[in-house]
Amino acid sequence: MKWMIAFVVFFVSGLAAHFATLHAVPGLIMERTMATMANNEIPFHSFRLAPAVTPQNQSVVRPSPDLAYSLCLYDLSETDGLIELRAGAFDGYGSIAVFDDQTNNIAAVRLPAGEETSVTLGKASSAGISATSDTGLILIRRLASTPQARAAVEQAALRDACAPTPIN
Amino acid sequence: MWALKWIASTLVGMVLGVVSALWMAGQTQITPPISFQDVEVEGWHSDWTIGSEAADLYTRAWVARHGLLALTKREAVYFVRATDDDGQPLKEACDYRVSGGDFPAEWWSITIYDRDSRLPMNDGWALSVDKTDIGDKGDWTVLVSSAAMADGTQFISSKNAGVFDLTLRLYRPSAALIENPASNLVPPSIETVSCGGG
Repeated sequence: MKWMIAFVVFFVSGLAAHFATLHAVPGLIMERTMATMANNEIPFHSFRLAPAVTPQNQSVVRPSPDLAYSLCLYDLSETDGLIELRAGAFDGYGSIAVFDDQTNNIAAVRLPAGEETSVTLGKASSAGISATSDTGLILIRRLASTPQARAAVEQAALRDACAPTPIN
Repeated sequence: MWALKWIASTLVGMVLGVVSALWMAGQTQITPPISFQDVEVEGWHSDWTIGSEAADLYTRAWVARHGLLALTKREAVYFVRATDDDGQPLKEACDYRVSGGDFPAEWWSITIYDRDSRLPMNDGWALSVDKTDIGDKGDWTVLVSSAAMADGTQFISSKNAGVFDLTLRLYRPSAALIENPASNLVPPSIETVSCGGG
């Protein structure tokens, strides 16, 4: 009987640890990634256009060398609860993607060709994108598979904004 | 005495629980038994729940480790293939002919990644092909090789890739593709040309 109890204890503790680990992994990886980005001068509440992706500078797994990435970290607890996002006009493929602190892609806003795009992120019902966590990151992807496209992205990115106060 | 055995049972159970979770979620160097099993088209694997809260715990953990910042299926879908048409693992020592046509998406790319989900550490100028490279040619062929061809054939460099996979990204996929991928996607074939060069 005691052996049976020991086996049940073994099984239950193993199962609990198994699922607790699986549940914790995305949050831990996101936390580590955001800390690494912050150390690499990716700012909170401001977009930074990352250098063109190369094997030598890849900072996240599976980056696409065909795309240009603008990154902004957010912490809604450090704001009045609302962030305004803006992507400068660009003629090729583009999107604004918002990720929460569990790695979920909570929104992806398509960038219409040649048009500037703005959207708000926050926990308030008035926000265009409803945040599911205080912290996370925002990623603008733009097609930049040629030097000419990369130059166009660099121009467009000058108008990118990720600001905790209304953009003028 | 029995108390010690129960404590030992608890600790061993917890250790095995943690290790098995990390393994099954692709967090270790040992290939897990599952990954991207939701959708399969001619050897190319994907999962329609990537990036979303609907993903199960294993997929979420796998994506966090191997595909962080992936988009949901409305914006992009990702297919991964790690074997050739004969089911053999893709490796740097072999040359491959990858052939396909257009895909039901606004834009697409195919990129090489090593077993750590990183771009291979080479000079980095030929790690992918995309719709921009192919243009409107329709059917296309690229070579995956550790060395460029002298005739200028379009290629993806597998130099320093070791054992690798190819990832097909389809941005803004058609509704028909999402609804029925097997009927609406003709994925690229991967034919082994030769082996033994590395």
